[in-house]
Amino acid sequence: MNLKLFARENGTFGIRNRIAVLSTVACANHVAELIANSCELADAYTHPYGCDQLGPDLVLSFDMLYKMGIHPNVGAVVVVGLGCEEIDAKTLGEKISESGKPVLSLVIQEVGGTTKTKETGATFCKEMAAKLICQPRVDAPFSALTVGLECGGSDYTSGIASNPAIGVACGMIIREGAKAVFGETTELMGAEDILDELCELPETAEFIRNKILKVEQIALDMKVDLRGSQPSPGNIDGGLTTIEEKSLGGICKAGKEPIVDGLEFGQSVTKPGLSFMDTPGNDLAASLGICAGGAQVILFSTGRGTPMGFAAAPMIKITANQHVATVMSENIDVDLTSIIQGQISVEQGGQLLFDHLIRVCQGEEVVAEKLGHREFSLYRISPILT
Amino acid sequence: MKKMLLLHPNDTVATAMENIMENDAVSVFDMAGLIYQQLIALEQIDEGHKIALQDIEQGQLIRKYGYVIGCASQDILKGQSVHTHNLESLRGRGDLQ
Repeated sequence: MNLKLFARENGTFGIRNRIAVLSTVACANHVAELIANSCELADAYTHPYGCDQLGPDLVLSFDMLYKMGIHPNVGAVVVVGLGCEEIDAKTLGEKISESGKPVLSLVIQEVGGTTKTKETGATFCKEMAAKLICQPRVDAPFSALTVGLECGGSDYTSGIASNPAIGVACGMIIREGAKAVFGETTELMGAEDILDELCELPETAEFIRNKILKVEQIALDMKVDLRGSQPSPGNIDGGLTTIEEKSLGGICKAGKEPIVDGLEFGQSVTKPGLSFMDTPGNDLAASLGICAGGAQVILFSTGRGTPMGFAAAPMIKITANQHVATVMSENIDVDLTSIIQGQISVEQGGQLLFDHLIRVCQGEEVVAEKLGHREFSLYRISPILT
Repeated sequence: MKKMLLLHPNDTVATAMENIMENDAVSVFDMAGLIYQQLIALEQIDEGHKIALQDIEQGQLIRKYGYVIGCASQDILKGQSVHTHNLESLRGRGDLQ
């Protein structure tokens, strides 16, 4: 199967043609937002970090902003910095431009304040938008696609209907030659035996087990009961009692697909098939890692309802909870309550997801996009020291 | 007759597919849609919550999806609700160290 996608100079293909306005530091956030708000195709990538960061934490922030810049769904980039932070806007801009994308780096202290920087950025966005709008979609192989699999705000319906349907869609995606990736390490605790069976290589199974143990060890070292946040109060209201139960429902997203690779946070997904990535359970952080890995689209199941989107990739919201499908219908793309009601099978639900995914990849907006949900966050791996 | 779902034959709990009241007669269906067991709910069980399919002693492991989801923190009778008040996670318990 071929798809109609946007070809990038570095050989990747996007399902969207957006302008990323990357803020390198909290002090540049407002200017980045002003620039993004001036142009319909532009998204602000803002966050509270970029300053007072050291070592691997600083490297990760730089690398994540870089990977958002080179993301296949991004056709042009504006980098906005203040001028005194560790993440240098020009260095970041130059590195992104090696991908062949048009990049404008702006340093507020050099350009001369909020208004001038905003105007310079807005002019660039206007020029870029005129070009991006004219760029045609071209034939692209299905293998150009990487699909992220996530769940958030889980309840009992997630593990019975939505996640198993994602698992079916995951199999279909992979049989067509694409890549898929899931993360949320904390929410695999208790599902190790299933993961062992799914992993193609014992090394991958060991990699995942070690990542889960690392998270569990943090709770043990802090002498806290993980139950304070896992499952969350919303999960518990929705019928999930323990992290093991939540994890066993979550892993249904993998379906019966062999896991072919284990990746660090934000590492590029390279192998066809299903990969695991070590990410937090936090939906924004997980989305950052998965999109940094190259996912152009995310299948996202929710039992309790969540409106969140992500700046770099459309999130397809799926629920099988009838209350959420009714009360939060504007936040749901695919309603799978008919699986719970016994009207369609999990396999038929998976087919619905696959069909919807194809339409979204070829331009159909997801509800989060329509509502302007284009959230972003960086993920810090060490405490603020200075 | 109220409906509950059994996800795996080894499970010791089933999931309520609708709100269940005390003394309601309950049919537990397996994944093939066949009736696996019938029992009386001893207390209210909200949609999505779990019911014990057998008497479970304190400390005994509880299974759903065919895998362990924790252990009983008190004795549980067949037909009682199984949730945070009587089922405890075995993972990430820094508070027990």
